[in-house]
Amino acid sequence: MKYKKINDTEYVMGENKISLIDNNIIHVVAKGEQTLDDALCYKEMCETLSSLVDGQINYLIDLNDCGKNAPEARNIWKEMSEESNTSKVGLFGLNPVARVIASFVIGTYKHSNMVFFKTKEEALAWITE
Amino acid sequence: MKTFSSKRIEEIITAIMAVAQGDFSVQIDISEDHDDLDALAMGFNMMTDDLREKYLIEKENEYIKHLNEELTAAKEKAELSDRLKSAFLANMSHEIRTPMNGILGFTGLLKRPDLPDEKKNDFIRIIEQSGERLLGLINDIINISKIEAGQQQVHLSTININHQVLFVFDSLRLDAKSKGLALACTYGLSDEEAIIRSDKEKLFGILTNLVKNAIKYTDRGKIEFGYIKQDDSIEFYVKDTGIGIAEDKQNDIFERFIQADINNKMARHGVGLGLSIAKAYVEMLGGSIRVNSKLGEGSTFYFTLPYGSETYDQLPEDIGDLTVPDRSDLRIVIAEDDDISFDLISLEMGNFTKEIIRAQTGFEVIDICRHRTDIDLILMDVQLPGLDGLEATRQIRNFNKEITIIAQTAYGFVEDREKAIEVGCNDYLSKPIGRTDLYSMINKYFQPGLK
Repeated sequence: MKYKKINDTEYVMGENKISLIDNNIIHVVAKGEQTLDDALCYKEMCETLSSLVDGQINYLIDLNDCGKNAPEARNIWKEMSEESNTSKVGLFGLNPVARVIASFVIGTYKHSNMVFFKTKEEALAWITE
Repeated sequence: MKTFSSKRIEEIITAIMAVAQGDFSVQIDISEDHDDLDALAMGFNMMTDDLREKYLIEKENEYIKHLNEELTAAKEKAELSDRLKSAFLANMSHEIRTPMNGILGFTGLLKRPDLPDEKKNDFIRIIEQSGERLLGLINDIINISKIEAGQQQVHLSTININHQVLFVFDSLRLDAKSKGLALACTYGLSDEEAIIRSDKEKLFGILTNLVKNAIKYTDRGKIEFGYIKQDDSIEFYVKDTGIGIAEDKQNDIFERFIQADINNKMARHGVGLGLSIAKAYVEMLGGSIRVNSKLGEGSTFYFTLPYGSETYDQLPEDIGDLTVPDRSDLRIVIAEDDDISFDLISLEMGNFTKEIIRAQTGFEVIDICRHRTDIDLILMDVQLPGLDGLEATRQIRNFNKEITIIAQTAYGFVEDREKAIEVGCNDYLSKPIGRTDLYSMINKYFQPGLK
């Protein structure tokens, strides 16, 4: 297994962190290059975390230190966002690299529940509004 | 305003040029700064990833498309083959049952005691024609099976094509006449020049097939056939004023079973093997076959055979001898396990023999030959139970080299004749044995007054 459980609501995978926070939000801090294998691990961890809460789940994804997203990894994220159990997906990042990565992820996504913001606060506010 | 190092910009330009040349694997390093240039590089990297993926998917789609095309073609071929086989079987059933119906039906009618002689002769003629039609069908099936199995061999000899053309003319003249058609043949060379080295039986088979087809598909008018000499080949032609062939069918007619599949009223009796056999024979002999035809006006079939200067060193072809043998003193053994075949031969031979002895196995023939030194002729069936006719002949030749042994078999191929001669038979008759062939053999080996 590529990821490591810290506690019931927190996992790490390399430098990436994934945790369940308030308001049914899974908070992902993506660091470095994201491969298909990584994306599949995210999916597994998210399924485990979402099983801990009732109702739909939201994603808050920090792209500030994120590296290149492989096309297949982007497809996994799109699949996860489309699932009926997913409510909102907020991506954020201050730097232009994060904005480009987000554009590639959101680019061909057909639904409106995935939005990019500059800051974590803006993304959180949209998710919890 | 922020400035960027020219080295990084150069790096991006180089990467763009690589992509322009089709290299989608190129990637640009991203710095820790995550600035606009890094964003540009990241965008470039992810775009090239997408392009590479798209390229691979397109390649895979092309491969899948190619596979699908192959599968569709294979499916269509299998469906066509299935359709042709079904049509062939249905047609075959019809083609076998029709002459059988004629044979059995008119044989039954022949039993009527009050039947006038004139009617009797008519019925016998119908039975004979039906039998010949059935035999033709069986020969076609065997030939096509041998062609498909790659067992059909070419037996080259020096032949005179004028004799072959005349032989075909003589064989089919009455068939044409019975339909009110004129049949004409022409030679393109003098007898001295009309010599080629080819397979006589196959040439006869091709010509007979084409002329028979022409008669079959022509209701009025005439049929002309012959040949002309070209540079280094002979081009044979068979021209009719028949129903013709639609343009879209002209390529298909040489494919086996096709006639059976032509769903129109123009198809005549036959299972559609003749032209595919002719085509296979022509190609085996180093030539090619084609057709020119116009629907409603007629067809001309052409085929070529190689022509070189040959010397005719053989006797003219034996075209049969219906002279009744002037003998009544022969002692013969008929080695035949089938009662009907034995009855038929013994009836045909009855007038020329003093004694007919029947043997039903190869062992019996050997035994008779050991104990009887006065036997003149053995008509040896090849397929005998216990010990076959070829092996029996081989053993007989160990102690008797004088006796005339003529093989008779239902296999009917040149190779069978060769095998028979190889084991020691003097000659060979192919079943069904016609009176002409039988008389020819008796006359050839037992001239009057000679023992």
